[in-house]
Amino acid sequence: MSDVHAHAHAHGGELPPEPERATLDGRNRILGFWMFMAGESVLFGSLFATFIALRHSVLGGPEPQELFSLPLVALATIILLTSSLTSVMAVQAMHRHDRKGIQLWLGVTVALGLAFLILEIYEFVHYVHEGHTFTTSAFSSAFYTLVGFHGAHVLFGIVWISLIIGQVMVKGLNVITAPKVYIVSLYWHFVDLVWVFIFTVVYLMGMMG
Amino acid sequence: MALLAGCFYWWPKMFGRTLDERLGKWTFWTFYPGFHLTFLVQHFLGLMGMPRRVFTYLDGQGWNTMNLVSTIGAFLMAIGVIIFLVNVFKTAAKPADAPSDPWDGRTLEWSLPTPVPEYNFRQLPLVRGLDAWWLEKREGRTHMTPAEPPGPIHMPSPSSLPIWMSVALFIAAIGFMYAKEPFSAGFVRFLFENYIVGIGGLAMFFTCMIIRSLKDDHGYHIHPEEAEGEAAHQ
Repeated sequence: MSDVHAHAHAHGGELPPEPERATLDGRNRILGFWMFMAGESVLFGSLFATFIALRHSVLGGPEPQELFSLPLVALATIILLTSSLTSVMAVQAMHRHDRKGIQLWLGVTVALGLAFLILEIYEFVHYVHEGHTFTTSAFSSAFYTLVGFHGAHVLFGIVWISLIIGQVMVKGLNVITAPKVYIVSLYWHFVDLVWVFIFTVVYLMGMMG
Repeated sequence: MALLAGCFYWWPKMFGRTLDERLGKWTFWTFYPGFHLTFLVQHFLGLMGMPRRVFTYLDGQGWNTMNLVSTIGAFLMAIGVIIFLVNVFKTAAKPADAPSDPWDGRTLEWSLPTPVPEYNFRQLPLVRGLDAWWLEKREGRTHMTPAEPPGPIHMPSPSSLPIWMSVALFIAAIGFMYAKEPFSAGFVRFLFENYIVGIGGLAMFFTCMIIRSLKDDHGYHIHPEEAEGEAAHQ
């Protein structure tokens, strides 16, 4: 309840080795974020279940095999997996109290996230030209809802990470900003993990029929 | 029924007033039989082939008597709820003088004074088992044993952001639900048709999130002497 040391380090020079866990406030935020991810898992679980149930209901529209192009999706996957690695580099830099490193690696993460998003938009535009729109079939609706919802999460993450970079620049690295860096990295891992499932369930299973 | 029971149980802790017991018994003896009369017979009606959640049904199927029983039960429940509402208004007119532990309770909330201080516990209580407060009372104590030394209590600052976020999501939901509604007023129709209401609500929601992220709220501390003073005052 009483958090006497909570802000002792906030304005001092000396930072503990794991600044994100130095205060009760920081630990509570991390715990709260795990609960948020539990809720998000249920949400994506429902979307996956819907997609799996409806993925063969193409109603005369394009089928997954004729639609998907694996090289493009594989490239997107590699980009997103790499961005997860760079967000780990940012947390490593934070543990070294290397403010420049945090900004650099989070910046690379944002750039990779943007590249992924551009590929996804290109992919969706291509599909619409192939006659695969949101209302074509139950398969297309489930596909755009699931994959589009993940894309929206990537966009949200890009905006969020950019704001965190700004905060680290302006406020510096302290026990208030450190949990933010850590949590945004957790979020990015989560979004990445969801993509691994999308790649498997939507694209690989789709190609196999 | 559980909601009603919870209201009666926690009303003194929430509002400092105990609901009227005589009216409470009237609520019980109308609502409880009413609930079972309404819903029990519906199981058998279902087995007899009546579809559920319909506003009317065919005559001459042998369903009439049991549906009449349901209707009588529904009226009983309505009477129970009306008596409860009367109870609420009657209780609100009384002075807020409920004791802190009116039911000789077992759990931690009854160890706190009524009204409950904003910081709840001045010091974390030492919990020695299930029904922690009961265990302490069994050993003759009138307060929970503290589990930490007294110190400044960290409190979050009051914030209106959560309620604005709820309002924003409400606007977004209305905007998307009625996007295809043929509103007669041209301007309203324009706003809904082009998703301006829905997207505006979402924009407001995400703006609140950004403010929440950018503004560092360190909260404030209540010092032990202040908390002590408040406790003595009660």
